[in-house]
Amino acid sequence: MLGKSLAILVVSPRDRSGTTLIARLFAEFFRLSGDAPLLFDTDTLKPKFSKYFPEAQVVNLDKTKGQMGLFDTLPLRAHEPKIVDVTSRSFATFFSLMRDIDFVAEARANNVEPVIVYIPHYEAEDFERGFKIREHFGCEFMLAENAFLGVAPQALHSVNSYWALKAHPVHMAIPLLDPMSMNLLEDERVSMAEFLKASAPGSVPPASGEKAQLPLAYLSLDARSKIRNWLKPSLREVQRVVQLVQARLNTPVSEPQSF
Amino acid sequence: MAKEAKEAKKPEKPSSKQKPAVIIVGADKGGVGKTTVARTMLDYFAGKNVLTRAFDTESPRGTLKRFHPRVTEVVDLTQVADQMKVLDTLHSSEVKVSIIDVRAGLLSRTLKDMTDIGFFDAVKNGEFKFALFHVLGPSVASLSEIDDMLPYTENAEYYVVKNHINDTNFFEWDQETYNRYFKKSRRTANEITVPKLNEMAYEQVELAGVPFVSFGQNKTAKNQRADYSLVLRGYVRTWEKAIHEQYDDAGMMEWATDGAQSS
Repeated sequence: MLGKSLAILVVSPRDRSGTTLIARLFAEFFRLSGDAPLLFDTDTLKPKFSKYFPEAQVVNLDKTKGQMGLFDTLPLRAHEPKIVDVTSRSFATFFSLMRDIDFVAEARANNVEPVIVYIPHYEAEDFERGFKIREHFGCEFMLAENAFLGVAPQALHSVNSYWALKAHPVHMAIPLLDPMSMNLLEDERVSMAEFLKASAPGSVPPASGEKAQLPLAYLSLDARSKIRNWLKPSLREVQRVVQLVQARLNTPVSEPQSF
Repeated sequence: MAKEAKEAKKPEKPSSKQKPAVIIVGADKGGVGKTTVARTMLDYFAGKNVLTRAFDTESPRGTLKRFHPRVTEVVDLTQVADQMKVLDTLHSSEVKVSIIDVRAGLLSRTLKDMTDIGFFDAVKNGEFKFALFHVLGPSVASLSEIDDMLPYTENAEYYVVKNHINDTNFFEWDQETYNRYFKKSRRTANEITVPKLNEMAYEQVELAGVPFVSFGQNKTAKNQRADYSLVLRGYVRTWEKAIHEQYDDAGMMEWATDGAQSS
């Protein structure tokens, strides 16, 4: 894919918001589209993203070398998408560095557009923060609403920044999956792309005595179907927002996939 | 449009009425970062399009000259010929701002020599403007230097610089102790605090041998595109911006240019 490449920065100010899950969806989407995304995990204390993708680079943002490993690499290799999982532990450091080094300008000078994928909890403070981040950096931004985090309480309806972010033109929604299926999907050995292939109708289940490559291979048809019915619309949602951002940037759009 | 932009960047010639300004950066202790301060000052004036010349008294080598070769001359201020080179040209030079980076341990001696040749009388008579940037070390002992400097600052701008760059991230003295040095003379000083710069960034600028501003802009000494780390460049830019904001707050620009040029 030629044109501008995207540096997808999946961020949340709070723990258990689903940054890793959404970063995984972006990574799987680009892989399924034939790209070879560069992946970064900023959580050195409990790295999760890199457990799913061993090729992901774990960067310690408290160390200068780690900072260089991430921010010096992101503006390079302009034709490959980049995905960064910014968990709550590295959130503050990540944005203060991004501001101090004027990352957005540098990335754009190298034909790379940073895209902040912001996942708030339904708290006024989170929407205020997201609003400030969007206004300060002025790069592509998308509000990601994760159905696992519930719904907006009535009190939030009086918060201006809530409506400001809700009205943002790029907005993604991740549907709900039942906790048991989500637990299965969180298994480090599970590749979403592999699951889609292995659980497709007509695929051959492992023969008796044969070791399954995926722990999901032994799932009941009902469980497989539940996960597949969550995964496909989630990937379609990622595809929709990626294409929307690419169109906004006037850059060639990713090849549509039929999930 | 491009022509306009080019013209905007061209340093303006000062008006002939502008009084020459002499800035001395020094300390009586070594290793407190005098040259670093002088370098930030050269970048500051260059950024404001003010023509500046610098004199490096670290003869014969000259650290300041290594980073700012085009505007810096190495001089030995203990020699009459070099004193003439600096002071006799103040009025004739088109460049009205002169920065003198005084070699470690020679500040008191230099100020005394300048008294002997009548420099301070000329300052008193309003022929030149004079500012002293006195870079202090972290120890209480360094405060005693203030007593020695005060007599020279009567008609001058006096800046006390706390430099944290060389790992001096602690200061033994507190504000009260520091204020006591000025009570007797009823003088005050402008305070400049040089924050700590990331070690790796500082080291890379040293290796590159370019002004801080060039490093921040990813340029080599020959003004070509370099390949410095984005992170380290960011550290340098943020650090220098914090210092330049203090120069702005202290009114350095207005002082140096008689208010003729302002940002």
